[in-house]
Amino acid sequence: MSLTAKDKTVVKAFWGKISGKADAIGKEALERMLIVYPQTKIYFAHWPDTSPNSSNVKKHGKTVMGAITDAVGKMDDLVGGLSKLSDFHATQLRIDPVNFKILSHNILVAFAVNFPNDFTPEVHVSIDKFMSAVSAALSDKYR
Amino acid sequence: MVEWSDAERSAIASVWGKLGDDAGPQSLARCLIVYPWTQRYFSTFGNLSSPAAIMGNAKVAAHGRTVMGGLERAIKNIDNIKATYAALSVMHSEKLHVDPDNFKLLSDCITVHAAMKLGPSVFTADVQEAWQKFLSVCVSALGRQYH
Repeated sequence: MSLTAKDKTVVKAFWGKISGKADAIGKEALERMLIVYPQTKIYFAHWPDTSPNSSNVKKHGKTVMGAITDAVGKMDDLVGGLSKLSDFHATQLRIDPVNFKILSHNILVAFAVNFPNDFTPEVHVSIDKFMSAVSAALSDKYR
Repeated sequence: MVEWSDAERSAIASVWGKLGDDAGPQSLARCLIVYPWTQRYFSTFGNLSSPAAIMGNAKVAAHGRTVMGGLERAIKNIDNIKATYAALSVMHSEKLHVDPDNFKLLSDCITVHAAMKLGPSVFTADVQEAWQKFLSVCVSALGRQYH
């Protein structure tokens, strides 16, 4: 389900709207994921604290959202652009790719809850496609 | 048997009470737009050619209300959703021939609608957890009679 020119325009425009809140969105998405899908906590067993508002969660939410924002600028070649990050997830982090879908869902919920007037169905479909494409690029080097 | 804590029952009832009358129409329209292959089940619904057409389609809206009616039965029989949905599951399998993966797609759109309607201070992570647990029990019950 490849990104059309329209999808790319919609994603860039929406990112422009949320850019001021990107860090907060990343934190909220991660918090929601850890609570709603508690099995994802296994990847953070090395953190003393996975509760909402912990400094680890805040910092990591910012890191993840920063990388996704970066990917917005690489939509013309996500597999190439995210190649190093894919290597890292495949060989070092070894996160089961099913979790990319889970985090994507919680990012969408964070968008919906904070930007109800902007997260229209037309925006939703393009963002969902973008997150799926990012997830696919991130899984590219797994095997 | 699904166990519900008091906090979960309270959260689910609270979300249900705040969803609004347009929840069904909005959620179904969103599903048909975000996951356009789901339109395959609605070939008799007339014009689904654009997001605007789908959002304004009276048959989509009516059907959205029907779906919400089904969810209301689950809310009212929350301790026995499996039995409550047995006949509905057979109907979706034998008569409507709906791919059960689609139930999850629609439930995700209902969750997004709830998030937009309720806002971050009401639709907290704990409330989201209870709400999604409720929807996943409904989804599971609807898929149970498929063979």
